[in-house]
Amino acid sequence: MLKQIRLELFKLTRRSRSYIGFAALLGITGLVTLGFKNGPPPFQEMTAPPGFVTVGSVLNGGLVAWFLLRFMIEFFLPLFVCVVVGDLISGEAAEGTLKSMLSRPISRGRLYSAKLMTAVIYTAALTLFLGLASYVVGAVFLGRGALMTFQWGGLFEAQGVFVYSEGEGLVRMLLAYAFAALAVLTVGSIAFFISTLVTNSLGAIGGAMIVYIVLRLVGVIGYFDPIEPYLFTTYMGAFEGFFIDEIPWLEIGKYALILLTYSAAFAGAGFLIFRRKDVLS
Amino acid sequence: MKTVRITDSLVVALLITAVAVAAPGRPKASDVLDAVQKNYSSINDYRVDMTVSVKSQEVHISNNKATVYYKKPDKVKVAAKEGFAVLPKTFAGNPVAEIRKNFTAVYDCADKIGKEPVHVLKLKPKTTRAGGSMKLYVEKRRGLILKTLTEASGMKMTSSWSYKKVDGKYWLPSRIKIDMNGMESGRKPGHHKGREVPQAAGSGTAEVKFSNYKINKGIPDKVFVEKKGSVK
Repeated sequence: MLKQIRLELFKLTRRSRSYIGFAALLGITGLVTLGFKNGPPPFQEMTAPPGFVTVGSVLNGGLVAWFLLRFMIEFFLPLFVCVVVGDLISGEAAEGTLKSMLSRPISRGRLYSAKLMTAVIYTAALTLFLGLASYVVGAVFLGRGALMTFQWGGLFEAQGVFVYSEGEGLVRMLLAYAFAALAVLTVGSIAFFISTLVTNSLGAIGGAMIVYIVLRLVGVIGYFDPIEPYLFTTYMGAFEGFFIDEIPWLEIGKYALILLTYSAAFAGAGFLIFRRKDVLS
Repeated sequence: MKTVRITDSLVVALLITAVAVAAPGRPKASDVLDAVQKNYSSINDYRVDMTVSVKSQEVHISNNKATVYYKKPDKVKVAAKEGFAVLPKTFAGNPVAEIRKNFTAVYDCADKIGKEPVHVLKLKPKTTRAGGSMKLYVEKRRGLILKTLTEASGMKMTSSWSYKKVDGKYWLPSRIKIDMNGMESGRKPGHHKGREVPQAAGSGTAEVKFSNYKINKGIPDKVFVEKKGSVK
């Protein structure tokens, strides 16, 4: 099984599309850092309540990493994950290599599991890369330091500015990115599921992104409030809980379980289809 | 009848004179400030580490660190240890110099904090930058600021100061606890996802801890040269 996973990962490294996400995220990180460094300092005055003053600059690698997580999880991270994960099975089917792979003495279950694990590893790698790249690029050009974040409402109804020491900020950031990887994996698992149905990776990528965007849209329209708790998109922003002073572990755990259940359901459904799939070419 | 009236007047006059002579003179605000200044008179320079924590409806800060440098007569520099620091607008460096520079002090009354007799001064800001008007509670025994009460734009801020003896002779702040009330909140009452969202309470607490005092060790002037973006 491990050998099969290694093989799948090796194949992933040979495909140029695997690097699109990394390159794009690095580029966006550079752009944001450039803007922060040269533009008017954002968020500077938010930290000081009446009767207090802010000394120094809130801009640093931690702020860039937090800022990018908030924005990239909305669209780009799911998109770049789908671009690769949606191609894992459908790409092989389109290229005609899936048939030859299945002619080898390897069970469909093992192949499917290896590809699923590859999807999980890629999702985690891309998400954590965003965190690492944004922190390092931000730290190089803006410096290191205490972490400032802010929230108004959201899943936890948290309010205001939250400031942590650099060490504590880093730990919270790492936890938030780990949760974000789990959230993005849910969208990726839709792409993975669709990729068992189609022989064109564009269909898997487009299908997953359409489902994701429609669910996001439904989530913000008041009419659909009764079904909101059942949408996985509702819980994708739960990484923000790691930036509240008293981390709501129980709620975060519950939301993580919901996201994992969705991922497992899509992966399970995909397996049922893949097991009975007629691989003709 | 007339004799009685003259006698009465004499008694009243004598009483007034006696009370006036017996009562201690109302201290001047400048004398009280001089007493506070005494604690700093033999301090040429000092540096101290500060750790700030704030917990309010809209600002949550945990262990934000900075270092304060002070050099006679009025050089003060606050350097954030981790990029930036959020600090209360209390008097850094030499409080008396700050008070004399930014406020007009008037003696208000004598009072007690716990069992400790204190002088109460009213401070009126000379400029709008200095903030709102303030009451300053100065311990009679050692000339230490024990409490400040600030009111500005409907907000009340009370700071309580604790001291420790540094190097066996200097009484300097070890902790300042701040209670804030009536802060304006950005969160308005309303509805969110069908739930009632109340108006934010607008109160909070803050704590500033001082540690690692280094007194009269000499601080070079270049420390006080402001780098771009170092002090807001």
